Amino acid sequence: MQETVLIQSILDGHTAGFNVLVKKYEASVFRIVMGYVHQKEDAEDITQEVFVKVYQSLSSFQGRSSFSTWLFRIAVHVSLNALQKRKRRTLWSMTAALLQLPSGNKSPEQELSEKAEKSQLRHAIDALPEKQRMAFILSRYEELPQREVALIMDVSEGAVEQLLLRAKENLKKKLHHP
Amino acid sequence: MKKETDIENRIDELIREERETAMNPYLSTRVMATIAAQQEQKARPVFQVLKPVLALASLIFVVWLGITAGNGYSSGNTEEAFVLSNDAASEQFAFYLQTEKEE
Repeated sequence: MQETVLIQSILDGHTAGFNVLVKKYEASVFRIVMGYVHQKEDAEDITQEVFVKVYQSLSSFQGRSSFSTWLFRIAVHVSLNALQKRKRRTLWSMTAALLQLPSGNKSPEQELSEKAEKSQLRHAIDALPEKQRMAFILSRYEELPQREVALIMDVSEGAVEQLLLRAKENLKKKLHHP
Repeated sequence: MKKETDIENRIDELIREERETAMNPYLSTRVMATIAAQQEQKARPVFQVLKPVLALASLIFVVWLGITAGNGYSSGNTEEAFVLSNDAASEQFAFYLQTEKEE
């Protein structure tokens, strides 16, 4: 069934049809959200929030862009809002991540140093300017083509290319001299 | 200073790891349950307004039913039937009269 037809049927009251959309896009939305929050449980909660928001505002979808573009735009905004709300929890989650028990294959020192390194990488990604970060996450975590990233961000493809280049440079700078 | 390729590899590794994080297989069920719960909650205020109205209507109906049933009642007992129905009592009187005679 075409997405527009499916959306119309959902708007006509066939709520169960929304499950088809959720199943089709949940993995993509989850990956985008993971790019922002880096934690499975948080990403699942936010993914759920994204789909509930999408359902609530489905009537405002006018079909000018594809459904996925509209959905991913909402996913980015909900993730950013959630990050604002959860800023207070950051310190606790960082500590909790570091205090997690080692997996057993590596020595505790190795495990701790890897965790610290990953945490450093995540911080570098999180510290990117908002647009660079958005372009980076959409193109690297969801592997979207630049054309689609441009549509989601409402900028030109050239601008996306520039944002990705600058993001790469910024990451290198931050990780060379942390 | 760290090598550029090393940094890129570490970033790629982190992204690959996060991309491959397994999602809860019941996430869609959770989403649909949340939507259903929200719809139910939306419908509830109407019911909450209607609840006292329904309770009052039920009470009025029960009272009306009682009055109507009471008004419509006819015993159907004639005077003869009433006398006959008291036979049991008469027999008891006879019993007492009999015991007095014995004394």
